[in-house]
Parts: sequence; structure tokens; C-alpha cells
Amino acid sequence: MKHQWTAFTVALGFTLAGHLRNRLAMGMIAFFIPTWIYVVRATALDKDITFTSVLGMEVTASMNRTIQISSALHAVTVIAGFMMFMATFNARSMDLRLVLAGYPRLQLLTAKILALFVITVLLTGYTTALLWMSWPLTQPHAVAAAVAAAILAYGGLGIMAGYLLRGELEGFFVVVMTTLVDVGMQSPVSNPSGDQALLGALPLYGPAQAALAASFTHAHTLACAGRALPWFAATSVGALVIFCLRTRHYGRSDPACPRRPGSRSHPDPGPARSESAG
Amino acid sequence: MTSETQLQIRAVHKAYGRRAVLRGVDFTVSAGMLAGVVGENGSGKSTLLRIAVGELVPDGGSVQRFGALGYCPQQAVVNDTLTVAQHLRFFQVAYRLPRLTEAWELVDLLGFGAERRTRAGELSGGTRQKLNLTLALMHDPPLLVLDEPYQGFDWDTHQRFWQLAVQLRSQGRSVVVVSHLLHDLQHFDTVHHLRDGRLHEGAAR
Repeated sequence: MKHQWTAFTVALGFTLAGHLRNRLAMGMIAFFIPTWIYVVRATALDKDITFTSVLGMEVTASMNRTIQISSALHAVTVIAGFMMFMATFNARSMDLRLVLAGYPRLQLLTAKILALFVITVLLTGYTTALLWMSWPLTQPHAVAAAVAAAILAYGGLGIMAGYLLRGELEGFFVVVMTTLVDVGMQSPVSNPSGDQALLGALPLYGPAQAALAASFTHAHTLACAGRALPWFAATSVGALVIFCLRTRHYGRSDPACPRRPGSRSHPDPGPARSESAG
Repeated sequence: MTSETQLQIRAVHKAYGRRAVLRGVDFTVSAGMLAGVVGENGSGKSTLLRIAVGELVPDGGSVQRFGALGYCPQQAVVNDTLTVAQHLRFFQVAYRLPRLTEAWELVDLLGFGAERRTRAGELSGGTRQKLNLTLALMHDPPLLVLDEPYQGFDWDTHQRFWQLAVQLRSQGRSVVVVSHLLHDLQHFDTVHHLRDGRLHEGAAR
């Protein structure tokens, strides 16, 4: 049990260190999000629009501010997806080598997911504060919950893509295009009715609807934001399945066997490991 | 098979699509043996080693290992965002080592002790390969499988590697090395040529 805990904490520490050393992601967080919100605030048309909320009401709000919400969601989902993809993709070969050497799979993957939670908390607080500085959100905590749900959904997608895809370009394309389509479909400016079939199945549907409603009304939006969590759960399980499938035969070579006499660290030879075709 | 056998490969087959790479390879490695595997590019040496360590599953045949192993892949498999010290800590957990004293001795022996806090992405190609090799050797396993482990090494380090390999053999470890270099053949107890998907034992020393 102690070893499992050590394996988890070591993996978590190094995963977080890897994220912090992703200078492009740190730069995007520092400059891209505030710049995008500021540019929209300064240039987008500031007239009222009316759109239908999934919560059963018509909402009338500033077009400028609704675009700020959509832009913030777009920025955090791109960044979260990109960060998780890069961290997973870059560590993938060494993760496989670590498992071959005896590192527990579950601890490696759980550390990535907990690192996503840490990033979600920080990125959510930062982005919500930027929006709140732009104008006083009606329910800042509910907006934060919606932003967090969006980050988790696309962070999970990034982890799964990091284990699944073969190239960096493929990963960037998946993250950028998926968020582009999703945000575009959820924006009340480009899609004011927002009631099309299948729209609700997209990852950002719940968070976008919740963020928009919480920004301008007092409606209860937490359950709506939570509609992104099945996406997070599904992509996390997908990542675990892909990782386990890729390393399914590695467990047969367990280097944690007893040590051989006279060796520095292996007093006895371990049990034999056999593998056969099939 | 003797009680000293560390690795036994029997009738291993492997194909990529229609291209058969291994067509019934038999290979036995005993304790205290320094064995070389040679062959042309694309002859299947790395595939054979990956099957030997359990990274790849053969299409046919069987592989038996009789203890812990250390595997050094041909391309350095490291994480560019982590330092040398962090790599050693990661593998300390994987191998369940109580301490890293011997691992750091190995780092000093290979001559990159000054790079402890350097990230792998900032290391030279040769030093990345030294780290790659250290991760395979640091738990002092009875069986070592090394796929061209000295790519990018300078001559002194190359010599030190062979001194280390000979020392490990004298301590009873089994060492399998893939090599392309003719002047390395003198170090091996046995040399195995991989040709047409089969392993042929040839002269050594």
C-alpha cells in the first residue's frame, strides 16, 4: 500500500512539474486568455440579443458579453486539451517503459487525472476572475463551475488523445477543431435557438448553457454544467483502457522479484516469466 | 535448459503484415554470458529484443525469463521535461529500490554526474543515451538486454561501457547486446547472426 501511494505521489509531482515546464501552455494562460477576452470586449458589437436557454427561459443579454463567455470557454478548452495532450503524448513512451519496469499503471494514469483537477481549479479561478473584472457576473461561482466542467471534459479528451494518436499534429488538430466546432455550435450569436437534436450530446453543451445562464440570470445551473462530466468520465476511462491495452502483456515481466545472492540489489533470482504466442 | 539459464527463446515467429521478420528463432542465454546479436539493418534484431523483454508478443513460439531484467531500447526513451535525478527517482519506484546510491555511482561511472539537475530535453544525444543505459542497469538485474546502448558515446565512454559489461559478466550477470560494430565482436562470448529471420551462432573472440 505504501508503495502504491509513493508511486502515485511521485507520478503526480512529476506530472505537475511537466505541466509547469510547458512554456507554450503557460504563455497561453498568461497572455492568450486575457488578450482574447479584452479584444472581444473592445471590438465586439455591444447590442442586446435574445437566446433560448436550456433551463427553459429566454435570456436577453449583451452580445459583447456573451461572446466574451464563449471566447473564455474556447480559450480554456483549447489550453486544457492542448496541455493534457502534450503532457500525455510526450510522456507516453516513458510511461510504457516505466510499466515494463514495474510501475503500476493505475497510479500513473490517476496522477495525470489528479493533475488535471489541479489545473482545472487554477485555470477556473483565473478565467472567472478575468471575466468578473470585465463585468460583474450575476453568479460568479456558478460560472466557475461551468468553466471547470468544460476544462475537465476537454482535459480528459486531451489525455485520451495523448495515448491514442500517433503524432503531435494529429493531437493539435483534434483539440483545435473539436473545440472550434463545439464552441461555434454552442454560441448564442451563431446558434441562438440552441435546441437542435444532438446539440446536447456535445461536450460543451452543458457548460456553455450553464455559463451563459449564470452570467446573466439567477437560474440554478450546476446540474446543467454537470452534463459535461460524463464526457470527462468517458474520456478518462477511454485513456485507461487504451493504456492498459497497450501494456496488457507487460505485467508478465515483473522486475520486482527477489534478488540473487551476491548482487548489489537482487539476492535471489525471481520466478520464471513465460510468454507464448497468442 | 540448465538452472543457470536466464533467458530462453524457442521457435519465435513474428511478422509485420505479410513481412515475416522472425521465422523460428531459438536463443538461450546463460548466467555469466556476454552474447552479441548482429545482423543487417531491418533484419529484426530490435524486434527480437523487444520480444525477449516482453514488450512485443510473438506470433508463435515462447519466451521464458528467469529473473529481473534491464532493458535499454535502441532510441533513448526518456521524458524531456524531467531532470536526470527525476528519471532516477521514477525508476527507483518502478524497481522498488530502497536507495539510489548504486544508480548515482553508475551515473558517475558513465561520466554525466554533473548533469543531475539537467532536463533530458537539454542533454546532448550521447548523454541522453547514457541516461537511457543507466535506467536499464540501475537495479543490477541478472539479465541485461541492450539494443545498441552506446550510440552517440565518445570513445572513452564506449570503452567504459565495455569494461562495465565485462565486469557484470564476471559477476554472473547475463548481458545481451545488439551491435553493428566489428571491433565490438571481440568482447562477446557468443555472437549470433540474425539472417533471414533465423539466428545463427557464429565465431566470437
